[in-house]
Amino acid sequence: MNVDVELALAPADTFERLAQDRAHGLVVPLAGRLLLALTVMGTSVAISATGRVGVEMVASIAAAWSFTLLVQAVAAAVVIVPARPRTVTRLRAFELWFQAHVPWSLWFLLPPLYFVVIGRRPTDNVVMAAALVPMVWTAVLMRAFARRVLQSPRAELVTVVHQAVLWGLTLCYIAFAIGGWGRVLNEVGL
Amino acid sequence: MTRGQWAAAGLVAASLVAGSLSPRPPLREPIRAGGYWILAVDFHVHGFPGDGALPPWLLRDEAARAGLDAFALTNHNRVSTARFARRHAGTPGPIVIVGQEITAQGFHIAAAGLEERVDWTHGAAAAIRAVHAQGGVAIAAHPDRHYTAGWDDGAVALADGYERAHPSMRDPEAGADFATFAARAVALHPGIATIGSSDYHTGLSPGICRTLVLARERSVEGVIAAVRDGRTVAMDMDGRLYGNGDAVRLVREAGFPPPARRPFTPASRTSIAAAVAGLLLLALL
Repeated sequence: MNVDVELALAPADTFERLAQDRAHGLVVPLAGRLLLALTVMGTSVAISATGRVGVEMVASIAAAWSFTLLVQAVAAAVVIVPARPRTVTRLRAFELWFQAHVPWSLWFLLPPLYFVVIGRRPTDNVVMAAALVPMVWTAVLMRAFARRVLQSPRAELVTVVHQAVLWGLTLCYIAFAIGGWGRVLNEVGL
Repeated sequence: MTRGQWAAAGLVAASLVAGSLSPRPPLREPIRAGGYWILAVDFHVHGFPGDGALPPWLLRDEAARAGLDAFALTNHNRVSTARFARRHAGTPGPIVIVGQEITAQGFHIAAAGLEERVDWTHGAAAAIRAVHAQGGVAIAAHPDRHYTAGWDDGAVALADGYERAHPSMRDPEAGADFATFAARAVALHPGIATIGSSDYHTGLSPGICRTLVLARERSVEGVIAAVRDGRTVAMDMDGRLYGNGDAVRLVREAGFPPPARRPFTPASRTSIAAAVAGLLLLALL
């Protein structure tokens, strides 16, 4: 089984094994995972927005939306950098964290797959509601990562901090995109 | 990487290259009738950065593919993306109009022909006056029950146009709301421009609902002047026309084609399928 899938299905054991296998990070595997994430995102958005794929289009969309990976990296850095008991280098910790991409990769790729097979797109509401799955799944992965890679005795707290930074930054972008915080509050009924 | 992953990566690369090589439709020649250019315009389009999916340079390409002659990039409460799009609109293609979706509780206004951001905090009438002060036009955006509480009669009378065709009209309740607002708008402002807009973020194509503008010149100024004078016809997703009788007749006689749904050719479907399959294999194999 692909180790990324294994990580998604059995995160605690897999993170522990991978951390023991190699303590030092390598740039190429990390860059490969980032490139895969960008290609998945660029392709999925291109299909959803235009119904086509192409090199320039996917590259343009991936470049534009690459800031979402930066957001992921910042949220990860907040918990990786100060983690003292970890037995792997920072680079290795980032490498392992970005290996936990399967939930979001599936979320990006299943709607276009549905489109190809069924011939029509799932509605936006369905796609947005389905995002709950990778959100929860990724929090579970972070808890295992905090425990087995960061060696944190307070894995739940690390998970909460990570999720708060991640979704706090995401909300900031949403507020920017939809016209300000007033509308964000209005949309959630406050 | 395993051999299988290299093969999957090759499949993704080949599908993207194949997608790039597929022929693109030629730019449509604008139609001239009754002494006007009949221009297909979308006054309500969102881009990145914002809540639209596509960066400005791809948006313009999408607009061209959709057969639009012009579009207003109207991100929520900002004009920076639209100004960027206009600055980089070098090659032949649709005219880019700088706009803003003025977004406040109770009203949204698709404003076109702006240079600076308009304040949205002082009510619809004040926002419309600010749009006019910049030489732009203000269009009541998707005026269903969720977005009309802030439209008092004074604001409606000041507006230059209202969206009469919009993808959300497929919901019968929203469609009824649009019709109600239309009757009110025409009563308060006879000659108000009838607008069709896609409100494109992602999914449906830009221009899927559109405005056919009877312009004296093919320029931003020509488009804005036509809206101000009410020389517009809204076209919905099924090609139905809304507007004053003379303008509708002119458009009908000109044989303006209805908005085309995206043509999913076997080639495009194949390249999408190959790209998705390759990425799934790459991620999961």
